Amino acid sequence: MVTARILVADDHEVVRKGIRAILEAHSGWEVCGEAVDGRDAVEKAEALKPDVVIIDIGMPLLNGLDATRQILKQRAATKVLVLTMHESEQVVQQVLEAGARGYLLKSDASRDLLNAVEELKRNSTKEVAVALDLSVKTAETHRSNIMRKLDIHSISELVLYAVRNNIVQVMPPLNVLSLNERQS
Amino acid sequence: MQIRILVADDYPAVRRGVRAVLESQAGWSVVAEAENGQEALQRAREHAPDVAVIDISMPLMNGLELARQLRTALPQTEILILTQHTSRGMLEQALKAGARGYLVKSAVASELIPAVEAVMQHQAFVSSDIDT
Repeated sequence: MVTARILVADDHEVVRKGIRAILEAHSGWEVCGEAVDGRDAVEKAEALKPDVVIIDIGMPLLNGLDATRQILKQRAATKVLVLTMHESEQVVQQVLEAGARGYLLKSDASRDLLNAVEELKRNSTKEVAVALDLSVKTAETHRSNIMRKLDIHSISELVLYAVRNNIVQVMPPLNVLSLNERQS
Repeated sequence: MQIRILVADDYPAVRRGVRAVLESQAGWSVVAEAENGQEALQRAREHAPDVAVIDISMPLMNGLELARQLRTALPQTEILILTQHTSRGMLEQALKAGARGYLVKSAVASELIPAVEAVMQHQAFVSSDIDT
């Protein structure tokens, strides 16, 4: 039984091959299509209606963030995960503003990719905490700080901004201390 | 023909994709993977691969430095460099560092097999996408 249909968008064939191999090791997941640039990604998303789109941030013709916006405009239920080279407050903000459910660093382990797709499928905040090996409270604290900082007003807009075991490492640009200093 | 290959790249999806391409050939096997230059050198010493497929930009030791060290430590290992760069300058540096093959990432899926075959014959292989 196919439990997730995934579209993979990256301009390098070797990367698409690798992501496909990683994902299809999970039983029930199917890579239903591949896209070679942003425009192709938008077209394929419309034709195939995947559950999840994994998209590289930098692609020819239309970059990953603009493609994300267009894909979500076509079909808001699509869950988009952006693959980035860097993580910075700016990148995180841009990814979330585009409407993606989360991002991963390209250098993140393949296990993180699998966990990320699992969380997107499940779509619950408790599950995010479990995947990140955190208490639910810690995840919610981080999440509300980020939401305040990024001016995002619903938890459903921010499910997952990074899937890694140590969420604190992701946080430095958005940490609670600098947030409080700015407010006072 | 049996070919033993080391793959070094900090992006797991690239390593996995390279592995998929290489292992489609009978007798070719990826004997080790590494995500940085230091690890690659270590693994190469352990496994003495026939070919090392290495990304030019990796943490801890980049691909050029790794190539230089591999030439010294394991002169029998042929080096194939993977890069995003299409510039001639980078190509020249790679060849000077001892790489026999040079592939642009966009062409890896289609050129990797002929590239490995060429370097196994001690012949150079350079991606056709390089600016000349």
